[in-house]
Amino acid sequence: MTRSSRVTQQAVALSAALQGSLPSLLLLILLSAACALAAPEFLGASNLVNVLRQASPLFIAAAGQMIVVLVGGIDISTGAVVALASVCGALIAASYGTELGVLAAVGVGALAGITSGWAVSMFRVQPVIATIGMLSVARGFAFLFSDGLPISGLPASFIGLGNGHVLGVPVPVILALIVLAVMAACLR
Amino acid sequence: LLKPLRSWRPDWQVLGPLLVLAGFCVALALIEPRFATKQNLINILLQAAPLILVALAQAVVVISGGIDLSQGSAAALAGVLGVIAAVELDSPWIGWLVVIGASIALSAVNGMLVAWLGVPAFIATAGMLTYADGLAFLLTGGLPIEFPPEGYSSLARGFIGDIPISIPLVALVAVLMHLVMTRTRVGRAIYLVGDNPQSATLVGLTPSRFRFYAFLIAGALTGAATLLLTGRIDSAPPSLAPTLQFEAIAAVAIGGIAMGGGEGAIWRAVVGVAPIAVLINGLNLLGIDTSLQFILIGAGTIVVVALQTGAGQVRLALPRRRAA
Repeated sequence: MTRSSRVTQQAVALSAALQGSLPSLLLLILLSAACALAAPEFLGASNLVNVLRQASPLFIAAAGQMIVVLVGGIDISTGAVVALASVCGALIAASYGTELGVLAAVGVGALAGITSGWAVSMFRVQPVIATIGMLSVARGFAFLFSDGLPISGLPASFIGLGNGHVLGVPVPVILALIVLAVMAACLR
Repeated sequence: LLKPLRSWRPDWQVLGPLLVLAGFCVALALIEPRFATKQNLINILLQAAPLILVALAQAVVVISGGIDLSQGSAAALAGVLGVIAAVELDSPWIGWLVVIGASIALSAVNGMLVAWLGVPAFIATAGMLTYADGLAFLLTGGLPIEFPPEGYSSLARGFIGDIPISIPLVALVAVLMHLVMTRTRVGRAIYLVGDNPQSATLVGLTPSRFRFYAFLIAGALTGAATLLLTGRIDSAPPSLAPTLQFEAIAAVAIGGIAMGGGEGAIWRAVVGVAPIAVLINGLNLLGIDTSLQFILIGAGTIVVVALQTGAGQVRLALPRRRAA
């Protein structure tokens, strides 16, 4: 009885999960098939690794968006905050080294998130408005700090975070997997 | 006789932004003598005209319970299509019709997705934001479509006496929208549907239909704004106004229209544009860097809305002193 009801529960959970993701899964399979037909090298190991590498930053940002959506909010400022955090991280990394650069990027992102979250939870500003405001603020600071120009002269270890490999696996993919594991553990 | 006066309580949602606006104006007039001139006032109104139209459009969608994140790129695509048509057929009229028509059609796609397929307005319009932008770049190869035929830009650049045509035009549209939203069946229904779809259904309205209508009206208004935006620069760049929807949503919120839908008079959208327009004008007059303008406008939006919505909550959030 308990066993069968547990199986039912699992089946229900599985079907619910599939119902949500089935269309996107189908779309993914269709797109992959189309790409593989158009360009056979699409399915090559190196290209698949490349796809993973390119998708990793988006995955990490999407994980953040998901947490906000889970509590009934939305974050429109993600793109602008990514720009601001990149600018700050790169500027600090170029002058003070990779470690501080990483710290600055994550810190600036967190600060932006905390500010939006503060406006939403303490002042009851609607999430759309708070994050649209943050979008504008972050965009402004990003331009102000960078003068609208890309930042160069980054230490090799900082660039390695985006370009490097550990045992053949790109670093961004490893970082994304860590985020995935932490999210999975925390949101259970 | 004095009863209505005694029971009158200040409506901080409107007075707040207006006081902020008055503060700006006084400060700007003191610092910058060029601010408080007739010419500059006309300038502000001229600059604000397209934003007022787009904010009215956003307000209708928000009142119906949705949101439109696609206005900027939809306007760009409609402008590109319209100016291409105007150039190819050498007719400003056809250009205008295509701009308005394309804008309504794009908004109708949003409306169909939201009303009938049940796609959340956020997702449907964020999709449009991306693909309208992509289409506009594809059609133009990234370069502005230039030299529309004589007359295309007359709405944006024409004058009656020394008043630009677009100012009375936008005022007329705002009054018209007020009448539509307060006096017509469709307008009232949009409020009801945005407030509570279930009870709207119970009184015999079809929520999906009026959600769709809200997007159609918004499309027409955004189209009119596109005529002003493209006419002003006499060309249609694929990146016409990438942050238009954010300014419009900010204006709607600053005006005090409930983001949850169903509440808030339409003229509040115009009130909400005023502080944004004056702030941009003032910062430009003072020669302040564009990046700082972004920061001030974003922070200002959050602060104004926080003051409106959070004024009651702050007191609760502070620790209370207890009597020993």
